[in-house]
Amino acid sequence: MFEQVRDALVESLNLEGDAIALTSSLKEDLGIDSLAAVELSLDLETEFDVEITDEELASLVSVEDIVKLIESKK
Amino acid sequence: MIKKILIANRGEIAVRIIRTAKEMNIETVAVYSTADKKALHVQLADESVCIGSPLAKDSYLNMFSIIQAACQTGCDAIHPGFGFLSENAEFARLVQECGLIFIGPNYKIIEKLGNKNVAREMMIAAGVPVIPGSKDIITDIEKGKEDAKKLGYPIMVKASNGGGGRGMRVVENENEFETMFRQAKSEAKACFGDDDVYIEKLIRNPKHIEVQVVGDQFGNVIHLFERDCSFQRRNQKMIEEAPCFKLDKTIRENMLNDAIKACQATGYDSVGTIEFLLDQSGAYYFMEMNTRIQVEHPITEMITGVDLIKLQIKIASHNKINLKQSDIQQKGYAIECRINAEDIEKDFAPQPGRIDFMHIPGGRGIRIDSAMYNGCEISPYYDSMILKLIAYGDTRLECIKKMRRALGELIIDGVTTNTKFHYYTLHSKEFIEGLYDTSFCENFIKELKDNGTLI
Amino acid sequence: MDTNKIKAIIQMFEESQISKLDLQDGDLKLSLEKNVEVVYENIKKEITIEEKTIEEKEPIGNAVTSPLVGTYYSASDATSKPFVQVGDQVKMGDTLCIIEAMKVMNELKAPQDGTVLNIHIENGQTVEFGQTLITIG
Repeated sequence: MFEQVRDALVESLNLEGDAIALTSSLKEDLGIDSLAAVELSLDLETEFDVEITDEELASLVSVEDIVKLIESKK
Repeated sequence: MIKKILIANRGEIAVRIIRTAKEMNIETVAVYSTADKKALHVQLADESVCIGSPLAKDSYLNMFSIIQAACQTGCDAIHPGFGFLSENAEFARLVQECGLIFIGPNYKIIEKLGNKNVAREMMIAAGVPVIPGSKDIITDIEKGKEDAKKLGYPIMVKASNGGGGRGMRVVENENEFETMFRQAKSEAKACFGDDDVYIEKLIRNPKHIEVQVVGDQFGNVIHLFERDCSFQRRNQKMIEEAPCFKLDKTIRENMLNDAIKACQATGYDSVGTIEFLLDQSGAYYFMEMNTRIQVEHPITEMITGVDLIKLQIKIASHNKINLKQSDIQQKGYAIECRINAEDIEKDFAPQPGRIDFMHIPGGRGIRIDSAMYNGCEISPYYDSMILKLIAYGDTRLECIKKMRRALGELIIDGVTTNTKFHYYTLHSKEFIEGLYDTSFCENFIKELKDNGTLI
Repeated sequence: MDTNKIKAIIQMFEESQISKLDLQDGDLKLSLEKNVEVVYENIKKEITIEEKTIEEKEPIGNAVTSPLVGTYYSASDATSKPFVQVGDQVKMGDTLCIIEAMKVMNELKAPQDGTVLNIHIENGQTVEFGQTLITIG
């Protein structure tokens, strides 16, 4: 699942694949601001066919949180 | 087959029609008012005839001038475009009586569907859901109040022969009824020369979804999917999208089928649009049918690959639609931003003037429909829309990013435009999430004003 | 200075590109002036087509323009004499011609007294709104 999430991050935010680790923080390490976060959530929703609420999106701090959130919805 | 068309319109839609006609080897005749002497549509058409002075009523609404111009230049058809005479049943009848083809539906259908109240009754008969409201035209205030009470406030007072957001007023409660009723009647009189009004239930902050339909003179009817036109300011559309993002599949299916039903019920035989209001509970209601090509038709063309004007002309030449519903495939997303010459810091006041310099964005997936060119004049007599910026992307987000890039590249000097406003909108969270309704635009404007971006 | 010389000078001046020439020879003072057509390279392709009808030098007098889109008739019917011809005197309200539009014959009346200086259009030709038909001075 991590690979899929990483590919989605690469595709959506034009980031380097190997710069993304499970523990990287979205804001500090990957520089994802609130606007990019909204766009990322849209991509994740279409990619994994899940619904992400605003609260859930706000609670995501690291890549691991994303993976856990999506797994919980699958 | 139609050989020569007079385009009874101006601006970008006239240019757009002339382009398709040329591709079909059809000769084109442009008409213009003295204010539009140097307009692009006049220069692109094969021939042109001046039909009157600048005021619309003396030129683009002057039926006799237009028909006379068509006859003396040997045209066999008139294309009305949108606005102006496009939904005027009288004009359509006159065109036919002078032995010309009116590129649009039969005038009897225009007449029926032009009257909002008659249209509602036809939809009820066809089993298409309509907004709860009183059938007959309200002439007496007390009777109106009674009906309103039965319906339950808030209600809307609407012009029977109106449209485009004019001649309508919201009534929150009974003591507001009289003032709003009179205002709606006088605006309807001013805009449409007819002050018949009726009342219906107000649907609070709905989404405005419309379905593009096409019928021919042999009973075939198809749809070309839906458009989301919820981004409106004072009932005037500013941004439109196709398809509607995150529309529930079953609701969409039912809506598309109801649009076909509505078309069949009226025997509609041209390109048209059925407008629905979708409320928060997922129920939708027929609002009105537009018996013309619409400003936002390009976004449907982008996701289906169909040239709607070509289809319109072919149908008007008594051809069958050669497309089956299964042939119409929808792919990707398209968004249209209407670029108007208006000042967002002066409450969107129109800004006529002269364009000193203009740069048009381009690249994959960008389409510009406009009649503007370097050095041209924007006259105060007509609509302030000067350019339609259309972006197409594989996903909605790609489409938004493409539109942002194009807006950033667009330069129009010499005239104030609303480009900046579109740029802000495409960066707002609610817009990106795509769940906004018809109240979002005005709230967004207020928000921008409050935090100082728009003084 | 004899007249041929003066003629020669004037002729030379005519063909030259100079717009002003002052000449003094003894008690003769000659000053010539004309406006020189300034030719400049049209850098930007002006997307306007030339006026269809070449703009002849406007004769002094007011243009009577067509108020309608239609067909111009100089006489009430094929057999009768035209309402007016160049040089005629007309009074305000006299009929100048007919514009037929949508099968309706509209008589165009003279907006002022004066003489018909020019008729810019032939019988039976189609006209557009605002097109100059007759000039009265």
